[in-house]
Amino acid sequence: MKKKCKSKINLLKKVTGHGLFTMSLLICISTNANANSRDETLVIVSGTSINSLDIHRAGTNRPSYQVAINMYDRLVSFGIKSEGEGNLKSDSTQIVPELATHWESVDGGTAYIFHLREDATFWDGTPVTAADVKWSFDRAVSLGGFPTVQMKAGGLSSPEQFEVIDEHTFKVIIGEANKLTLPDLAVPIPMVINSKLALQHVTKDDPWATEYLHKTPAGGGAYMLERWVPGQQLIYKRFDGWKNGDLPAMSRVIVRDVPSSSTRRALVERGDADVALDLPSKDVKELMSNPKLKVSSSTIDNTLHAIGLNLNFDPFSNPKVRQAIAYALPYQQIFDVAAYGLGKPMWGRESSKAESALWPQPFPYKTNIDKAKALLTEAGYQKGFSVPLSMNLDFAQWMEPTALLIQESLGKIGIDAPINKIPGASWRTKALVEKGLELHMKNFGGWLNYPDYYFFWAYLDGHLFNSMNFKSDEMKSLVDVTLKMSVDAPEYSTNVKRMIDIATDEVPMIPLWQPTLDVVMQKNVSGYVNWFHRQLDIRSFSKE
Amino acid sequence: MLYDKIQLIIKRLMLAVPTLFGVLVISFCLTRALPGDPAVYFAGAMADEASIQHVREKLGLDRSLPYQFLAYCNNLLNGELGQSLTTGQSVTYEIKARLPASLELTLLGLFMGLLIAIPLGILAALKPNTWIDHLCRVLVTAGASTPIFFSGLFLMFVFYYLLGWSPSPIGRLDFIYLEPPHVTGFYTIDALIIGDYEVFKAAFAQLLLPASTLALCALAPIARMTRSSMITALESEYVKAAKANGISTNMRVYVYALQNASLPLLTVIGLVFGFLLGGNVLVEKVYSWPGIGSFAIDALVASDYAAIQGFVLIMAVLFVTLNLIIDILYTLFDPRMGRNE
Repeated sequence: MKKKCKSKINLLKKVTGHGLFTMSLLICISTNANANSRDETLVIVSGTSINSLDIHRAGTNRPSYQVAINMYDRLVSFGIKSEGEGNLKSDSTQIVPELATHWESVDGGTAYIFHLREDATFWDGTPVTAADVKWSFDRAVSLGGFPTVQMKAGGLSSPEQFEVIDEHTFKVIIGEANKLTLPDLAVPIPMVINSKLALQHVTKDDPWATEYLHKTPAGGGAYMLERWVPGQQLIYKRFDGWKNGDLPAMSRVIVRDVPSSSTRRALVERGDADVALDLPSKDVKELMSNPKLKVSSSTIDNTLHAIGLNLNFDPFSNPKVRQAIAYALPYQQIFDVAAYGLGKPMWGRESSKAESALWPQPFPYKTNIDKAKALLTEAGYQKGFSVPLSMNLDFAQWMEPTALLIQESLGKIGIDAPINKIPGASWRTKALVEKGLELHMKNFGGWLNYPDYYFFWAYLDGHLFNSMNFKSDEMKSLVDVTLKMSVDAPEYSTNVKRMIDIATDEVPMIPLWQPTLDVVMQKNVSGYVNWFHRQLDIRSFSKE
Repeated sequence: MLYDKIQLIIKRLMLAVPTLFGVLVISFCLTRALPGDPAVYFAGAMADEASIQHVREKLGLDRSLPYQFLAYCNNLLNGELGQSLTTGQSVTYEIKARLPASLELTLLGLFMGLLIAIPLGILAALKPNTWIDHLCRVLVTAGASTPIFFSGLFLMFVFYYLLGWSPSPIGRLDFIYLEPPHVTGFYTIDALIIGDYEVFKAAFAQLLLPASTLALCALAPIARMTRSSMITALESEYVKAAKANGISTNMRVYVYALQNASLPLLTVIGLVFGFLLGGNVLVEKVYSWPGIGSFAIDALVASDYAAIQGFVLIMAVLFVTLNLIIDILYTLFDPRMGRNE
């Protein structure tokens, strides 16, 4: 027995001795072998799993939006611009054709006519017609929930607004000119479904075939479904008859669910995965210096990580107290510790008034404890007060360190801020519906990249993302006139600048930073685009 | 004697019915007491009041609680566990797919643990305070004091990341293989049934690291219990009497002592198995294992009523079955059991 054990120990010694050498050899062998067999296959590891193949269904989660993007087409899409350092980003100012080859605004801007590509077909070979587009749009505005709300944002709320002119001509009637309509047709929701196929699976209780489309996509997009094993993987295969764009380079794409971020990191570092999603900022920062990998990190349009101050809480009804908090936050520390320096700082602007209509833009506040104390004294709160600081556990990664830093800093001006951790399932009710959280961390991003759209959701009384209960008549009238106005209109930029100034002076919400979307991939993978919807558009990927 | 045992088993089965009903009521009430409103959660961030109400009606959450409970019981009788909202699948499908995954992993982990722990415990009991006893002590202490997420990540770091010996930790099977047709749901066994040795090897390779992690965790209590109950058994009168009668050492140790020592051991194994099955969430997360534990945790976070209830119910059934099996094994090992009644 002892002898056996000794020889085992010797073996172990040998193993560790040769370990380093074998390791490097193994890495070489395995990556080479993989590269040859996987030239046309892209392997993506993702932290969250897809729960439906139908974006219109109630309860479909965010990662499932990728199915709408890659398996279905829309009438139009956004262009792509370079963000520097090889990063690509969707460009919401540029609307490009997808299923529609061209379109025109008619009836004085109150309607659009779309001309569909005549040779476009669905996967089963049936041609895509205006009737399919109408059925799909009718479905989006009729099902209720998220698709209906999103369609409404573009001024589309009733099936009467969609008209089939002929087989390949489709009309959208909006009633009054609205700059949001066309961009809203480029978001994932208004996708075109194969209505003839779907209608075969309609039942009396289910007139929109939600049960069928939940598990069986019926589209004409660049990728088809090869396999979906819920909770494990989704495999796409290319639709070679796709006409609505350049044929994608990858013939097969595997999206594998890997819940642990450490495992995802190990997989991409070892070269077993081509693309790793949802890595924590800390890992992204570290992997940036890895010569074998490529990291794309660029800001998400129209999105902010911020602190909300609820005006229903007595001390916060005084703007001086809100400004005092804005001067008391340790911005730089938060940015370094919680965001690892990834993102765009949103504090410390030099000019006190907005000089451009750019949004998001930094607010003029910076850390100044003396000024914060003086403002509190002016407001009559020199003795301070106590206010719970609420955070959403779903976003603990950035909210937890931020909360601790804020707590410490507010302590310096006499404000006691115990941290209140709220589970994700009840966050929405407490923060957005009941709007009862006094001091809280929030993140909101608008899909349509217009400042007035952000202000519409986050600064108007009663609107969902105004968790601060902020009321301002001037803001309301400004947003009302600006929302549908074209960005070229002469008053547009003046109005937006005024909105930003109100948001700055009244400061119901204190922006911290504009977050980034980070994706880590192998050096030979290219074509990643940072889309406003934050999901992967696999159609543009290629591998060398 | 056989009649006695059957009677005992039937009695135990009858006792399980009120237990299961109790579990049903409690899990129903507890899920309703969870903070958060599933309708709001699943209507999505952008939804308005009308669409939240729409989702609520669709889920039947606008009805009274007793009505919901009766509807749930009625569905159960029809074999329906409801729809999981987080995964978008029926709970029956999820459990059918995930329970075998967890069972396969847990059973192999437990088996590996037993394979090391029992001989180690016996040897340590036979030679107390020698090097093997110390080794046993070190392993037990290390196994009990290393958190499972640490040992899981550590094994992965060494055997996958550094050495590259283990296949990539992306679940039950690498994506280059297709899973075998569903018979038992255990990939290794299903692959053997169709005679596909390559898939068997791949599935087994995927199992090794997570199962070793579980084995490390299971090792400690089993080895400790084997050692102490063996020591007690070896020092008892009947073993001494057997020695005085000249019965061989092997007979004394492996038949007389071990049989008696195996009773407390069996209890511990039952407990460890239950703990591993329900508590291996962290291993499942680290190795991307599509098991029942991570399903339950995700459901809890999202207040996914049907999924949580389904999970609790299935676990209750499993535990009742497990206890039953252990009781039956008791009667086999211990002749005193079932006779007095």
